[in-house]
Amino acid sequence: MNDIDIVIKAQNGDDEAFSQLIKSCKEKLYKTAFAYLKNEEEALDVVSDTVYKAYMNINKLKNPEFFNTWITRILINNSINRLEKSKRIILVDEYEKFDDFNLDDSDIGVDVPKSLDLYNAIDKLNVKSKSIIILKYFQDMTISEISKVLKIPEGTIKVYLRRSLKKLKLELGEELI
Amino acid sequence: MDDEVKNGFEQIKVSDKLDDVVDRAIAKAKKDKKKNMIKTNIIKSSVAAASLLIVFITSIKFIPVFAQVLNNVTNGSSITHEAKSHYDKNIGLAETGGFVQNINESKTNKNIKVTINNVITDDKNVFIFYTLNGKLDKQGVKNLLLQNFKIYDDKYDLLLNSTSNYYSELPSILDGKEGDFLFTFNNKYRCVITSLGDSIKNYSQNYETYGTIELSALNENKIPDELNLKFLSFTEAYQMSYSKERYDNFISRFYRNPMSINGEWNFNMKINQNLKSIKPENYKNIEFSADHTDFNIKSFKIYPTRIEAKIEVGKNKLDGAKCYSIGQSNKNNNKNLPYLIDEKGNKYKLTDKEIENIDSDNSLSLTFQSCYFNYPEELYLVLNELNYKDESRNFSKDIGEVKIRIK
Repeated sequence: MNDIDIVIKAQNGDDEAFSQLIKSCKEKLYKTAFAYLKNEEEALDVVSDTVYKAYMNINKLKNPEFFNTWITRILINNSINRLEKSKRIILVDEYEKFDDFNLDDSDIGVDVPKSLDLYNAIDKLNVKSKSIIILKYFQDMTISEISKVLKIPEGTIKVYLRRSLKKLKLELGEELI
Repeated sequence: MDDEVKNGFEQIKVSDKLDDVVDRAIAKAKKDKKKNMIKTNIIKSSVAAASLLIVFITSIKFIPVFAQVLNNVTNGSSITHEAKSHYDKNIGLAETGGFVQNINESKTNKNIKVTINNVITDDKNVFIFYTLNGKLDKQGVKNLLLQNFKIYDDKYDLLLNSTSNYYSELPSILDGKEGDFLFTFNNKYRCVITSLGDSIKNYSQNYETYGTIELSALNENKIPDELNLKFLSFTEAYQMSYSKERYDNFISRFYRNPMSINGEWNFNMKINQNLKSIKPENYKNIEFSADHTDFNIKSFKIYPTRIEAKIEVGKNKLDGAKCYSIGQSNKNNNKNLPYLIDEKGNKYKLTDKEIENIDSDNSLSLTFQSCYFNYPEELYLVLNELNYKDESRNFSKDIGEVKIRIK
Protein backbone atom coordinates (compact mmCIF):
# COMPACT_ATOMS: atom_id res chain seq x y z
CA MET A 1 0.00 0.00 0.00
CA ASN A 2 1.47 3.37 -0.90
CA ASP A 3 1.51 6.50 1.27
CA ILE A 4 -1.45 8.12 -0.46
CA ASP A 5 -3.62 5.07 0.24
CA ILE A 6 -2.65 5.18 3.91
CA VAL A 7 -3.63 8.87 4.09
CA ILE A 8 -6.99 8.15 2.45
CA LYS A 9 -7.60 5.31 4.92
CA ALA A 10 -6.77 7.65 7.80
CA GLN A 11 -9.18 10.25 6.40
CA ASN A 12 -11.88 7.59 6.36
CA GLY A 13 -11.44 7.00 10.07
CA ASP A 14 -8.84 4.21 10.15
CA ASP A 15 -6.89 4.95 13.34
CA GLU A 16 -4.24 2.34 12.57
CA ALA A 17 -3.50 4.08 9.28
CA PHE A 18 -3.19 7.44 11.06
CA SER A 19 -0.79 5.95 13.63
CA GLN A 20 1.27 4.53 10.77
CA LEU A 21 1.51 7.94 9.11
CA ILE A 22 2.65 9.59 12.32
CA LYS A 23 5.17 6.84 13.06
CA SER A 24 6.87 7.46 9.72
CA CYS A 25 7.39 11.18 10.33
CA LYS A 26 7.48 11.66 14.10
CA GLU A 27 11.25 11.84 14.41
CA LYS A 28 11.56 14.44 11.71
CA LEU A 29 8.74 16.44 13.30
CA TYR A 30 10.45 16.31 16.69
CA LYS A 31 13.84 17.35 15.31
CA THR A 32 12.29 20.24 13.39
CA ALA A 33 10.48 21.46 16.50
CA PHE A 34 13.69 21.12 18.49
CA ALA A 35 15.58 23.17 15.87
CA TYR A 36 13.19 26.05 16.65
CA LEU A 37 12.85 25.70 20.37
CA LYS A 38 16.14 24.10 21.49
CA ASN A 39 14.27 22.54 24.43
CA GLU A 40 13.13 18.92 24.80
CA GLU A 41 9.91 19.54 26.74
CA GLU A 42 8.75 22.37 24.49
CA ALA A 43 9.54 20.37 21.35
CA LEU A 44 7.51 17.43 22.74
CA ASP A 45 4.59 19.78 23.51
CA VAL A 46 4.66 21.13 19.98
CA VAL A 47 4.75 17.62 18.49
CA SER A 48 1.82 16.62 20.73
CA ASP A 49 -0.23 19.66 19.56
CA THR A 50 0.67 18.92 15.95
CA VAL A 51 -0.39 15.26 16.12
CA TYR A 52 -3.62 16.26 17.88
CA LYS A 53 -4.48 18.92 15.25
CA ALA A 54 -3.55 16.55 12.41
CA TYR A 55 -5.93 13.89 13.76
CA MET A 56 -8.77 16.37 14.26
CA ASN A 57 -8.38 17.99 10.84
CA ILE A 58 -7.13 15.26 8.50
CA ASN A 59 -10.48 15.29 6.71
CA LYS A 60 -9.78 18.86 5.58
CA LEU A 61 -6.67 17.79 3.64
CA LYS A 62 -7.83 17.99 0.02
CA ASN A 63 -4.76 16.40 -1.60
CA PRO A 64 -3.57 13.28 0.27
CA GLU A 65 -0.25 13.35 -1.58
CA PHE A 66 0.65 16.51 0.34
CA PHE A 67 0.28 14.99 3.82
CA ASN A 68 3.92 15.59 4.77
CA THR A 69 3.81 19.18 3.55
CA TRP A 70 0.60 19.74 5.45
CA ILE A 71 1.72 18.30 8.77
CA THR A 72 5.07 20.11 8.52
CA ARG A 73 3.17 23.38 8.12
CA ILE A 74 1.11 22.67 11.23
CA LEU A 75 4.29 21.91 13.15
CA ILE A 76 6.06 25.07 11.99
CA ASN A 77 3.07 27.24 12.93
CA ASN A 78 2.89 25.63 16.36
CA SER A 79 6.65 26.10 16.84
CA ILE A 80 6.49 29.76 15.86
CA ASN A 81 3.50 30.35 18.14
CA ARG A 82 5.38 28.77 21.02
CA LEU A 83 8.48 30.87 20.28
CA GLU A 84 6.42 34.05 20.09
CA LYS A 85 4.53 33.31 23.28
CA SER A 86 7.71 32.88 25.23
CA LYS A 87 9.79 35.62 23.64
CA ARG A 88 7.11 38.13 22.56
CA ILE A 89 8.64 38.34 19.07
CA ILE A 90 6.83 40.93 17.06
CA LEU A 91 5.29 39.71 13.83
CA VAL A 92 6.37 42.64 11.65
CA ASP A 93 8.14 41.34 8.59
CA GLU A 94 10.15 43.97 6.80
CA TYR A 95 10.74 41.62 3.89
CA GLU A 96 7.12 41.33 2.89
CA LYS A 97 7.10 44.34 0.63
CA PHE A 98 10.01 43.71 -1.74
CA ASP A 99 9.52 42.92 -5.41
CA ASP A 100 9.49 39.38 -6.67
CA PHE A 101 13.03 38.96 -8.06
CA ASN A 102 13.73 36.71 -11.00
CA LEU A 103 16.37 34.64 -9.30
CA ASP A 104 17.34 31.09 -10.11
CA ASP A 105 19.02 28.69 -7.73
CA SER A 106 22.51 29.78 -8.75
CA ASP A 107 21.78 33.32 -7.59
CA ILE A 108 21.54 32.07 -4.05
CA GLY A 109 25.21 31.93 -4.55
CA VAL A 110 26.38 30.49 -1.30
CA ASP A 111 27.36 26.89 -0.85
CA VAL A 112 27.02 25.97 2.77
CA PRO A 113 29.82 23.67 3.97
CA LYS A 114 28.53 20.65 5.82
CA SER A 115 30.72 21.41 8.81
CA LEU A 116 29.07 24.78 9.43
CA ASP A 117 27.06 24.95 12.58
CA LEU A 118 23.83 26.24 11.02
CA TYR A 119 21.92 24.64 13.86
CA ASN A 120 23.18 27.32 16.25
CA ALA A 121 23.59 30.10 13.71
CA ILE A 122 19.89 30.17 12.75
CA ASP A 123 18.98 31.60 16.16
CA LYS A 124 20.27 34.92 14.84
CA LEU A 125 17.63 34.96 12.09
CA ASN A 126 13.99 36.06 12.11
CA VAL A 127 11.35 33.39 12.25
CA LYS A 128 10.60 33.24 8.53
CA SER A 129 14.27 32.95 7.52
CA LYS A 130 14.83 30.35 10.22
CA SER A 131 11.98 28.24 8.82
CA ILE A 132 13.41 28.38 5.32
CA ILE A 133 16.91 27.40 6.46
CA ILE A 134 15.55 24.49 8.54
CA LEU A 135 13.47 23.16 5.67
CA LYS A 136 16.27 23.53 3.08
CA TYR A 137 19.32 22.41 4.97
CA PHE A 138 17.80 20.08 7.53
CA GLN A 139 14.83 18.56 5.77
CA ASP A 140 16.51 18.78 2.31
CA MET A 141 13.42 20.30 0.75
CA THR A 142 13.53 21.98 -2.64
CA ILE A 143 12.51 25.60 -3.10
CA SER A 144 9.24 24.39 -4.61
CA GLU A 145 8.50 22.17 -1.59
CA ILE A 146 9.36 24.95 0.85
CA SER A 147 7.04 27.26 -1.08
CA LYS A 148 4.17 24.77 -0.56
CA VAL A 149 4.86 24.32 3.15
CA LEU A 150 5.18 27.99 4.01
CA LYS A 151 2.74 29.27 1.35
CA ILE A 152 5.25 31.87 0.17
CA PRO A 153 6.10 32.41 -3.54
CA GLU A 154 9.29 30.70 -4.74
CA GLY A 155 10.93 33.98 -5.71
CA THR A 156 10.37 35.32 -2.20
CA ILE A 157 11.95 32.23 -0.69
CA LYS A 158 15.04 32.66 -2.83
CA VAL A 159 15.43 36.24 -1.71
CA TYR A 160 15.01 35.28 1.94
CA LEU A 161 17.61 32.54 1.54
CA ARG A 162 20.08 34.87 -0.10
CA ARG A 163 19.67 37.53 2.56
CA SER A 164 19.82 35.03 5.41
CA LEU A 165 22.99 33.39 4.19
CA LYS A 166 24.60 36.78 3.58
CA LYS A 167 23.69 37.76 7.14
CA LEU A 168 25.13 34.54 8.47
CA LYS A 169 28.26 35.11 6.40
CA LEU A 170 28.71 38.47 8.09
CA GLU A 171 28.00 37.00 11.50
CA LEU A 172 30.21 33.96 11.13
CA GLY A 173 33.10 35.49 9.18
CA GLU A 174 34.64 33.79 6.14
CA GLU A 175 33.49 30.22 6.94
CA LEU A 176 30.79 30.35 4.33
CA ILE A 177 33.11 30.89 1.40
CA MET B 1 21.34 6.23 7.55
CA ASP B 2 23.60 9.14 6.75
CA ASP B 3 26.06 9.53 9.60
CA GLU B 4 27.64 12.60 8.14
CA VAL B 5 27.15 15.75 10.22
CA LYS B 6 24.59 17.92 8.43
CA ASN B 7 25.23 21.47 9.56
CA GLY B 8 24.70 20.53 13.16
CA PHE B 9 21.07 19.37 12.89
CA GLU B 10 22.09 15.75 13.24
CA GLN B 11 23.29 16.48 16.75
CA ILE B 12 19.62 16.64 17.77
CA LYS B 13 18.86 13.48 19.73
CA VAL B 14 15.32 12.16 19.62
CA SER B 15 13.67 12.28 23.04
CA ASP B 16 12.91 8.94 24.81
CA LYS B 17 9.47 10.33 25.63
CA LEU B 18 8.47 10.91 21.99
CA ASP B 19 6.54 7.64 21.45
CA ASP B 20 4.59 8.09 24.65
CA VAL B 21 3.74 11.72 23.83
CA VAL B 22 2.53 10.78 20.34
CA ASP B 23 0.35 7.91 21.66
CA ARG B 24 -1.25 10.17 24.26
CA ALA B 25 -1.92 12.90 21.69
CA ILE B 26 -3.69 10.44 19.39
CA ALA B 27 -5.74 9.03 22.29
CA LYS B 28 -6.85 12.53 23.37
CA ALA B 29 -7.72 13.48 19.80
CA LYS B 30 -9.83 10.32 19.39
CA LYS B 31 -11.73 11.10 22.59
CA ASP B 32 -12.32 14.77 21.68
CA LYS B 33 -13.43 13.91 18.16
CA LYS B 34 -16.06 11.56 19.60
CA LYS B 35 -17.29 14.28 21.98
CA ASN B 36 -17.55 16.79 19.11
CA MET B 37 -19.61 14.34 17.05
CA ILE B 38 -22.10 13.97 19.87
CA LYS B 39 -22.31 17.78 20.23
CA THR B 40 -22.88 18.16 16.46
CA ASN B 41 -25.78 15.72 16.57
CA ILE B 42 -27.42 17.62 19.38
CA ILE B 43 -27.02 20.88 17.47
CA LYS B 44 -28.46 19.37 14.29
CA SER B 45 -31.55 18.21 16.08
CA SER B 46 -32.08 21.74 17.45
CA VAL B 47 -32.00 23.40 14.01
CA ALA B 48 -35.78 23.38 13.63
CA ALA B 49 -36.14 25.15 16.95
CA ALA B 50 -33.42 27.64 15.97
CA SER B 51 -35.17 28.54 12.70
CA LEU B 52 -38.31 29.33 14.60
CA LEU B 53 -36.29 31.61 16.86
CA ILE B 54 -34.85 33.47 13.85
CA VAL B 55 -38.35 34.11 12.52
CA PHE B 56 -39.29 35.32 15.99
CA ILE B 57 -36.43 37.83 16.24
CA THR B 58 -37.01 39.09 12.69
CA SER B 59 -40.58 39.79 13.68
CA ILE B 60 -39.40 41.96 16.56
CA LYS B 61 -37.30 44.02 14.17
CA PHE B 62 -39.93 44.68 11.55
CA ILE B 63 -43.21 44.72 13.39
CA PRO B 64 -43.18 47.33 16.13
CA VAL B 65 -46.58 46.28 17.41
CA PHE B 66 -45.30 42.76 17.95
CA ALA B 67 -42.27 44.21 19.69
CA GLN B 68 -44.54 46.17 21.96
CA VAL B 69 -46.48 43.06 22.92
CA LEU B 70 -43.24 41.26 23.65
CA ASN B 71 -42.05 44.14 25.77
CA ASN B 72 -45.10 43.86 27.96
CA VAL B 73 -44.29 40.24 28.60
CA THR B 74 -40.52 40.39 29.10
CA ASN B 75 -39.85 43.91 30.42
CA GLY B 76 -37.91 44.80 27.31
CA SER B 77 -35.10 42.33 27.89
CA SER B 78 -35.46 40.73 24.43
CA ILE B 79 -35.53 44.07 22.67
CA THR B 80 -32.54 45.46 24.51
CA HIS B 81 -30.64 42.26 23.77
CA GLU B 82 -30.98 43.17 20.14
CA ALA B 83 -29.95 46.73 20.90
CA LYS B 84 -26.74 45.47 22.48
CA SER B 85 -25.82 43.29 19.53
CA HIS B 86 -26.76 45.94 16.99
CA TYR B 87 -24.56 48.58 18.48
CA ASP B 88 -21.48 46.58 19.37
CA LYS B 89 -21.37 42.80 19.02
CA ASN B 90 -18.85 42.56 21.84
CA ILE B 91 -21.34 44.24 24.17
CA GLY B 92 -23.97 41.81 22.94
CA LEU B 93 -21.79 39.00 24.31
CA ALA B 94 -21.64 40.61 27.75
CA GLU B 95 -24.97 39.04 28.50
CA THR B 96 -23.65 35.50 28.24
CA GLY B 97 -20.90 36.43 30.67
CA GLY B 98 -23.49 37.56 33.21
CA PHE B 99 -22.32 41.18 33.13
CA VAL B 100 -25.67 42.84 32.54
CA GLN B 101 -27.18 44.74 35.46
CA ASN B 102 -31.00 44.73 35.35
CA ILE B 103 -32.55 48.02 36.42
CA ASN B 104 -36.17 47.76 35.14
CA GLU B 105 -37.19 51.14 36.51
CA SER B 106 -39.80 53.39 34.84
CA LYS B 107 -40.70 57.05 35.20
CA THR B 108 -43.68 58.79 33.58
CA ASN B 109 -44.05 62.45 32.74
CA LYS B 110 -46.10 64.22 30.09
CA ASN B 111 -47.72 60.85 29.32
CA ILE B 112 -44.45 59.39 28.23
CA LYS B 113 -43.05 56.41 30.08
CA VAL B 114 -39.28 56.00 30.12
CA THR B 115 -37.88 52.68 31.30
CA ILE B 116 -34.23 52.02 32.07
CA ASN B 117 -34.00 48.31 31.21
CA ASN B 118 -30.41 47.45 31.99
CA VAL B 119 -26.85 48.66 32.17
CA ILE B 120 -23.42 47.31 31.23
CA THR B 121 -20.46 49.16 32.63
CA ASP B 122 -16.80 49.04 33.49
CA ASP B 123 -14.41 51.76 34.66
CA LYS B 124 -14.28 53.44 31.26
CA ASN B 125 -17.72 53.03 29.68
CA VAL B 126 -21.34 52.66 30.59
CA PHE B 127 -24.05 51.43 28.21
CA ILE B 128 -27.55 52.35 29.36
CA PHE B 129 -30.39 50.54 27.54
CA TYR B 130 -33.81 52.16 27.68
CA THR B 131 -37.32 51.97 26.23
CA LEU B 132 -39.62 54.89 25.42
CA ASN B 133 -43.40 54.45 25.41
CA GLY B 134 -45.82 57.14 24.26
CA LYS B 135 -49.02 55.13 24.44
CA LEU B 136 -50.20 56.68 27.68
CA ASP B 137 -51.27 59.79 25.81
CA LYS B 138 -54.80 59.62 24.32
CA GLN B 139 -53.53 60.71 20.97
CA GLY B 140 -50.32 58.86 21.63
CA VAL B 141 -46.95 60.44 20.92
CA LYS B 142 -45.22 58.16 18.51
CA ASN B 143 -41.80 57.36 17.14
CA LEU B 144 -39.96 58.83 20.12
CA LEU B 145 -36.24 59.56 19.97
CA LEU B 146 -34.17 60.77 22.93
CA GLN B 147 -33.16 64.37 22.32
CA ASN B 148 -31.64 65.97 25.42
CA PHE B 149 -30.37 64.76 28.75
CA LYS B 150 -27.91 65.47 31.56
CA ILE B 151 -25.76 63.02 33.50
CA TYR B 152 -24.45 63.67 37.01
CA ASP B 153 -22.35 61.71 39.48
CA ASP B 154 -23.46 60.80 43.02
CA LYS B 155 -22.69 64.32 44.28
CA TYR B 156 -24.70 65.84 41.45
CA ASP B 157 -21.59 67.19 39.75
CA LEU B 158 -22.43 67.47 36.07
CA LEU B 159 -20.58 64.98 33.88
CA LEU B 160 -22.20 65.77 30.55
CA ASN B 161 -24.92 68.08 29.24
CA SER B 162 -26.18 67.25 25.78
CA THR B 163 -28.31 70.37 25.31
CA SER B 164 -27.66 71.93 21.89
CA ASN B 165 -24.25 70.44 21.84
CA TYR B 166 -24.30 67.73 19.17
CA TYR B 167 -21.56 67.25 16.60
CA SER B 168 -22.12 66.94 12.90
CA GLU B 169 -19.72 64.04 12.31
CA LEU B 170 -20.28 60.61 13.76
CA PRO B 171 -17.55 58.25 15.03
CA SER B 172 -16.32 55.63 12.55
CA ILE B 173 -17.71 52.84 14.75
CA LEU B 174 -21.22 53.86 13.55
CA ASP B 175 -20.42 53.66 9.84
CA GLY B 176 -22.95 51.54 8.00
CA LYS B 177 -25.13 51.07 11.09
CA GLU B 178 -28.89 51.43 10.88
CA GLY B 179 -30.49 53.73 13.44
CA ASP B 180 -30.61 57.37 14.55
CA PHE B 181 -27.56 58.75 16.30
CA LEU B 182 -26.46 61.75 18.31
CA PHE B 183 -22.86 62.40 19.33
CA THR B 184 -21.52 64.82 21.93
CA PHE B 185 -18.46 65.20 24.13
CA ASN B 186 -16.56 67.49 26.46
CA ASN B 187 -12.98 67.24 27.72
CA LYS B 188 -13.84 64.47 30.21
CA TYR B 189 -16.68 62.43 28.70
CA ARG B 190 -17.99 61.39 25.32
CA CYS B 191 -21.50 60.17 24.56
CA VAL B 192 -23.28 58.42 21.69
CA ILE B 193 -27.05 58.05 21.70
CA THR B 194 -28.41 55.29 19.47
CA SER B 195 -32.14 55.25 18.83
CA LEU B 196 -33.68 52.14 17.31
CA GLY B 197 -37.23 51.43 16.23
CA ASP B 198 -37.69 54.73 14.38
CA SER B 199 -40.20 53.99 11.67
CA ILE B 200 -41.95 56.69 9.69
CA LYS B 201 -43.64 53.97 7.63
CA ASN B 202 -45.28 52.37 10.65
CA TYR B 203 -45.66 55.66 12.43
CA SER B 204 -49.29 55.23 13.42
CA GLN B 205 -48.49 52.07 15.37
CA ASN B 206 -45.02 52.95 16.61
CA TYR B 207 -45.68 53.81 20.26
CA GLU B 208 -42.55 52.18 21.55
CA THR B 209 -38.92 52.69 20.61
CA TYR B 210 -35.70 51.79 22.35
CA GLY B 211 -32.11 52.91 22.47
CA THR B 212 -28.71 53.14 24.10
CA ILE B 213 -26.76 55.87 25.82
CA GLU B 214 -23.05 55.09 25.67
CA LEU B 215 -21.03 57.28 28.01
CA SER B 216 -17.23 56.96 27.75
CA ALA B 217 -14.69 58.40 30.19
CA LEU B 218 -11.79 60.11 28.40
CA ASN B 219 -8.12 60.28 29.40
CA GLU B 220 -7.66 59.47 33.09
CA ASN B 221 -11.34 59.94 34.03
CA LYS B 222 -13.55 57.05 35.10
CA ILE B 223 -17.23 56.19 35.24
CA PRO B 224 -18.48 56.94 38.79
CA ASP B 225 -20.04 54.24 40.98
CA GLU B 226 -23.37 56.07 40.98
CA LEU B 227 -25.05 57.97 38.16
CA ASN B 228 -27.98 60.38 38.13
CA LEU B 229 -29.58 60.56 34.74
CA LYS B 230 -32.06 63.27 33.76
CA PHE B 231 -33.95 62.88 30.47
CA LEU B 232 -35.10 66.35 29.32
CA SER B 233 -36.76 66.02 25.94
CA PHE B 234 -37.79 63.69 23.14
CA THR B 235 -38.51 64.28 19.46
CA GLU B 236 -40.08 62.50 16.50
CA ALA B 237 -37.13 63.03 14.13
CA TYR B 238 -33.59 64.39 14.42
CA GLN B 239 -32.55 67.46 12.48
CA MET B 240 -28.86 66.64 12.02
CA SER B 241 -26.76 66.84 8.85
CA TYR B 242 -26.43 63.05 8.71
CA SER B 243 -30.18 62.55 9.43
CA LYS B 244 -31.33 64.97 6.74
CA GLU B 245 -33.03 62.32 4.64
CA ARG B 246 -35.14 61.00 7.51
CA TYR B 247 -36.01 64.52 8.65
CA ASP B 248 -37.09 65.50 5.14
CA ASN B 249 -39.11 62.27 4.84
CA PHE B 250 -40.94 63.17 8.04
CA ILE B 251 -41.86 66.65 6.79
CA SER B 252 -42.95 65.46 3.37
CA ARG B 253 -45.12 62.75 5.00
CA PHE B 254 -46.76 64.82 7.74
CA TYR B 255 -46.50 68.39 6.37
CA ARG B 256 -45.22 69.67 9.70
CA ASN B 257 -42.04 69.88 11.75
CA PRO B 258 -41.37 67.04 14.18
CA MET B 259 -42.79 67.58 17.65
CA SER B 260 -40.56 67.87 20.69
CA ILE B 261 -41.80 67.02 24.17
CA ASN B 262 -40.00 68.62 27.10
CA GLY B 263 -40.19 67.28 30.62
CA GLU B 264 -38.12 65.64 33.30
CA TRP B 265 -37.54 61.94 33.90
CA ASN B 266 -34.99 61.30 36.66
CA PHE B 267 -33.16 58.10 37.43
CA ASN B 268 -30.60 57.19 40.06
CA MET B 269 -28.40 54.19 39.25
CA LYS B 270 -25.97 52.53 41.61
CA ILE B 271 -23.55 50.69 39.39
CA ASN B 272 -22.97 47.00 40.01
CA GLN B 273 -19.29 46.42 40.69
CA ASN B 274 -19.18 43.22 38.59
CA LEU B 275 -17.37 44.66 35.60
CA LYS B 276 -16.02 47.76 37.33
CA SER B 277 -13.87 45.66 39.62
CA ILE B 278 -12.21 43.84 36.72
CA LYS B 279 -8.67 45.07 36.16
CA PRO B 280 -7.83 45.48 32.48
CA GLU B 281 -5.58 43.00 30.69
CA ASN B 282 -2.45 45.11 30.37
CA TYR B 283 0.44 44.89 27.90
CA LYS B 284 3.40 47.27 28.05
CA ASN B 285 6.34 48.40 25.95
CA ILE B 286 5.81 46.50 22.73
CA GLU B 287 8.45 47.89 20.36
CA PHE B 288 8.25 47.60 16.60
CA SER B 289 9.42 49.25 13.38
CA ALA B 290 7.48 50.15 10.27
CA ASP B 291 8.71 52.16 7.29
CA HIS B 292 12.09 52.72 8.99
CA THR B 293 10.33 54.41 11.93
CA ASP B 294 10.44 53.11 15.50
CA PHE B 295 7.30 52.80 17.61
CA ASN B 296 6.61 51.71 21.15
CA ILE B 297 3.18 50.62 22.34
CA LYS B 298 3.72 51.96 25.84
CA SER B 299 0.48 50.57 27.17
CA PHE B 300 -2.35 48.44 25.79
CA LYS B 301 -5.28 47.89 28.13
CA ILE B 302 -8.18 45.55 27.35
CA TYR B 303 -11.23 46.58 29.37
CA PRO B 304 -14.53 44.68 29.08
CA THR B 305 -16.06 47.48 27.00
CA ARG B 306 -13.10 49.21 25.30
CA ILE B 307 -9.42 48.88 24.48
CA GLU B 308 -7.08 51.80 25.16
CA ALA B 309 -3.65 52.00 23.56
CA LYS B 310 -0.90 54.55 23.95
CA ILE B 311 1.70 54.47 21.15
CA GLU B 312 4.92 56.45 21.14
CA VAL B 313 5.86 57.44 17.56
CA GLY B 314 9.31 58.22 16.22
CA LYS B 315 11.16 59.79 13.33
CA ASN B 316 11.76 58.19 9.96
CA LYS B 317 15.42 57.11 9.89
CA LEU B 318 15.80 57.73 6.17
CA ASP B 319 14.43 61.24 5.71
CA GLY B 320 14.07 62.51 9.26
CA ALA B 321 10.34 63.24 8.92
CA LYS B 322 8.43 63.06 12.17
CA CYS B 323 5.49 60.68 12.42
CA TYR B 324 2.53 62.50 13.97
CA SER B 325 -0.42 60.17 13.40
CA ILE B 326 -1.74 56.94 11.86
CA GLY B 327 -4.28 56.58 9.04
CA GLN B 328 -5.48 60.19 9.14
CA SER B 329 -4.95 61.34 5.56
CA ASN B 330 -8.60 61.14 4.52
CA LYS B 331 -11.24 61.56 7.19
CA ASN B 332 -13.95 60.47 4.75
CA ASN B 333 -12.27 57.17 4.06
CA ASN B 334 -11.95 54.75 6.94
CA LYS B 335 -9.87 52.20 5.05
CA ASN B 336 -6.58 53.64 6.31
CA LEU B 337 -7.55 53.68 9.96
CA PRO B 338 -5.73 51.28 12.29
CA TYR B 339 -7.71 48.38 13.71
CA LEU B 340 -7.28 45.22 15.77
CA ILE B 341 -7.83 41.66 14.59
CA ASP B 342 -7.83 38.36 16.46
CA GLU B 343 -6.87 34.88 15.31
CA LYS B 344 -10.45 34.13 14.24
CA GLY B 345 -10.55 37.19 11.95
CA ASN B 346 -12.79 39.29 14.23
CA LYS B 347 -12.04 42.97 13.65
CA TYR B 348 -12.21 45.64 16.35
CA LYS B 349 -12.53 49.20 15.06
CA LEU B 350 -11.41 52.55 16.40
CA THR B 351 -14.25 54.15 18.34
CA ASP B 352 -13.62 57.48 16.61
CA LYS B 353 -12.20 58.26 13.16
CA GLU B 354 -10.25 61.20 14.53
CA ILE B 355 -7.18 60.31 16.53
CA GLU B 356 -6.25 62.95 19.08
CA ASN B 357 -3.18 65.03 18.51
CA ILE B 358 0.16 63.71 19.62
CA ASP B 359 0.91 64.60 23.24
CA SER B 360 4.03 66.01 24.86
CA ASP B 361 5.50 62.49 25.15
CA ASN B 362 5.23 62.00 21.35
CA SER B 363 2.43 59.52 22.01
CA LEU B 364 -0.93 58.87 20.38
CA SER B 365 -3.93 57.66 22.37
CA LEU B 366 -6.21 55.25 20.51
CA THR B 367 -9.46 53.66 21.67
CA PHE B 368 -10.86 50.53 20.02
CA GLN B 369 -13.87 48.27 20.46
CA SER B 370 -13.08 45.58 23.01
CA CYS B 371 -12.38 41.92 22.28
CA TYR B 372 -12.93 41.03 25.95
CA PHE B 373 -15.95 38.76 25.55
CA ASN B 374 -14.54 36.98 22.49
CA TYR B 375 -11.63 35.66 24.60
CA PRO B 376 -9.08 35.71 21.77
CA GLU B 377 -5.77 33.89 22.18
CA GLU B 378 -4.03 36.16 19.71
CA LEU B 379 -4.55 39.84 19.00
CA TYR B 380 -2.83 42.02 16.42
CA LEU B 381 -2.71 45.76 15.75
CA VAL B 382 -2.92 46.47 12.01
CA LEU B 383 -1.54 49.65 10.46
CA ASN B 384 -1.90 50.70 6.81
CA GLU B 385 -0.84 54.31 6.67
CA LEU B 386 1.52 56.60 8.57
CA ASN B 387 1.26 60.40 8.65
CA TYR B 388 4.48 62.43 8.69
CA LYS B 389 5.57 66.03 8.73
CA ASP B 390 8.87 67.64 7.90
CA GLU B 391 9.92 71.28 7.71
CA SER B 392 7.92 72.05 4.61
CA ARG B 393 4.81 69.85 4.57
CA ASN B 394 2.60 67.13 5.96
CA PHE B 395 2.40 63.89 3.99
CA SER B 396 1.19 60.30 4.27
CA LYS B 397 2.70 56.95 3.36
CA ASP B 398 0.87 53.79 2.47
CA ILE B 399 2.85 51.03 4.21
CA GLY B 400 0.68 48.11 3.14
CA GLU B 401 -0.65 45.96 5.95
CA VAL B 402 1.67 45.79 8.93
CA LYS B 403 0.57 43.52 11.78
CA ILE B 404 1.98 43.83 15.26
CA ARG B 405 1.26 41.09 17.75
CA ILE B 406 -0.10 42.31 21.06
CA LYS B 407 -0.82 38.87 22.54
